[in-house]
Amino acid sequence: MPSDSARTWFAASVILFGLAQTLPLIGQKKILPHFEKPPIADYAVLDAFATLSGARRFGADLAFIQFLHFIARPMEDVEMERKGLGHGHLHDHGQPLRESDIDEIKDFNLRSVYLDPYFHYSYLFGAGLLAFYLNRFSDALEIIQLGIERDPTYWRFRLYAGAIGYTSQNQTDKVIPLLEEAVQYPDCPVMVANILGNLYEMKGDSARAADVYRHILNTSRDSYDLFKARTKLEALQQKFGI
Amino acid sequence: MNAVLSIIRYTFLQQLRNRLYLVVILFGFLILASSLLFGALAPDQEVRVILDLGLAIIELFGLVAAVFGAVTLVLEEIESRTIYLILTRPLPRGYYIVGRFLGLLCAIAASMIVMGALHFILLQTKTWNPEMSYFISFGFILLKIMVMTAVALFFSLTSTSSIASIVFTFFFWILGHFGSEIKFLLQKAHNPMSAYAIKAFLFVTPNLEFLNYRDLFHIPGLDSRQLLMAAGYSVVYTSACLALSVAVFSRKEV
Repeated sequence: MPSDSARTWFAASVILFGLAQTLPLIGQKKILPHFEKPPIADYAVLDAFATLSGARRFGADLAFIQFLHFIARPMEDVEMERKGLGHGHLHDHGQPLRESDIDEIKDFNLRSVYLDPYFHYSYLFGAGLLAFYLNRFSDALEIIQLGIERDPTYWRFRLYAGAIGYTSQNQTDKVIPLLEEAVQYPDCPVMVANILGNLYEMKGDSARAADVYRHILNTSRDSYDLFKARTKLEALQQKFGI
Repeated sequence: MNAVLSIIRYTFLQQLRNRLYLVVILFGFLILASSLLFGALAPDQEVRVILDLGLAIIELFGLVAAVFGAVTLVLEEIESRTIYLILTRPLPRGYYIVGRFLGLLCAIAASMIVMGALHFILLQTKTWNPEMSYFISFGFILLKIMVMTAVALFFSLTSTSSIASIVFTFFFWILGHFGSEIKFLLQKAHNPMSAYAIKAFLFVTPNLEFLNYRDLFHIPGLDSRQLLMAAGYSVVYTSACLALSVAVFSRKEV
C-alpha cells in the first residue's frame, strides 16, 4: 500500500501536470509551420531529425550549406558561358545543366526555407540566383511569394519581387534603382551586387560598376566573391583607368 | 533547509569529479570550436551558422550531461549503499530528491555557462553584435535542460536499468519537440480511442517546443508574455516531475 506521503506527492504531481498543460494553451502560439513533405526526399530523414530535435534553424543552415555546395560548380559554368569563356552549363559530371538540375536548385532552396521559414537570406539568395543567373523568373517569384506569405513584415521581399519582375521584361532602367537600394542592406546577397555591377558595365557606366565592386570588397567575406570583385575592378582599372 | 543545501553542495562536487561529465564538457568544447569550420562553409552567413550550431551543441551536451548524471544520481548511491548514510538521518526523502536534483542542475548549468562563454568569445571574434535574444535563448536552453533532468530523474527511479531510463528520456525529448505535429496529425485521426490515448500521453510529455526559443528568436512578434508563460511552464512541469519522483522514491525500498 502506498504511504500517505506518496499519495500526497502523487496528487501534487497530477495537479502540477494539469497546471503545466494549461500554460501552453494560454501562452503558446504556433509560429513555425508544421513539418511538410521535404522538397528533396534524399534529405527527408535529416530534415525530420532537425525538427524532432528542436533544431530547425540549424537544420536550415545545414540545408543552405548543402545548397551552396550543390550550386557552386554549375554557377561557375554559367559565369563562363556569360563571358564566352567556355562551353558553359556544365554540371558536375561534364553534363549540360538540364532543366531538371535547375528544378533541383529550386528544391534545395525550398528545403532550407521550409525548415526555417524566417531565413530571409536564403529566400533572397535563391530567388536572386534563379532570376538573375538562370532566367527562371516565375520560380524566383514563387520563392519570394512564399517568403512574403511567411513574413509579410519583411518588405525587402517586395523590393526583390519588383526587380525580378522588371528583369523578366528586360526593363533594365527600372531594375537598377531597385538593386541600388537592395545592395545598401547588409543582408543583401553578394550575387545581387554582382548583377548590379554587370548592369552598370552593360550600360557603360564603369565608374558606378567600380563602386559596386569596391562595395563587395568591403563587405563580402566569401573568398571567391572577393577574388571575382578584385579581378573585375582590376580589369576596369586597366581598361578605363578608374 | 541546511540539509538540502548540504546535499546540493555534495552533489555538485560529486558531478564535477565525475569523469563522464568532464569528457562530455571537453567534447562539447571541441565541437564548439569546430563550428568555425561550418561557418567557413557559408561565408556570408558565418555568424548565423556559428550561432545556431553553437547553441545546438550547448543544448545537446547539456542534455547528455543531464541524462547520464540524472540516471546514475540515485541508483549509484543505492548500489554503493552510501544512501543509508543520508536516509538514516531525520531527513524527509523529498528533501533528498530535491537536493540531489538541484545539485546536479547546478553542475550542468555551470558546464553550460562555461560552454556558453566560449561560444560568446567565438562569436565575438566574428562580426557579431551581441543581442538580448541570444541570452534569452541561452536561458531557455537551461530551462529545457532543467525539465529533461527532472524527467530523467523520474525514469531512473521507476525503470529497472539505466539504459531503459536513458532511452525513455531521449524518447520524451523527441516527443517534446514533436507534440504539435502529433496534435496536427490527431486532427486527421479517425479512431477516437487512439486519439484519446495519444492525448493522454501528450498530457505527461513535456512541451519542449514551447521552450524552444532558440528556433524562434529571430521571428518578429514574439511577446514577453509568451516568454514568461514558457518560463513558468518549465518550472511547473519540473515541479510536477519532481513531485512524482518523490512519490515513487517514498515507496521505494532501499
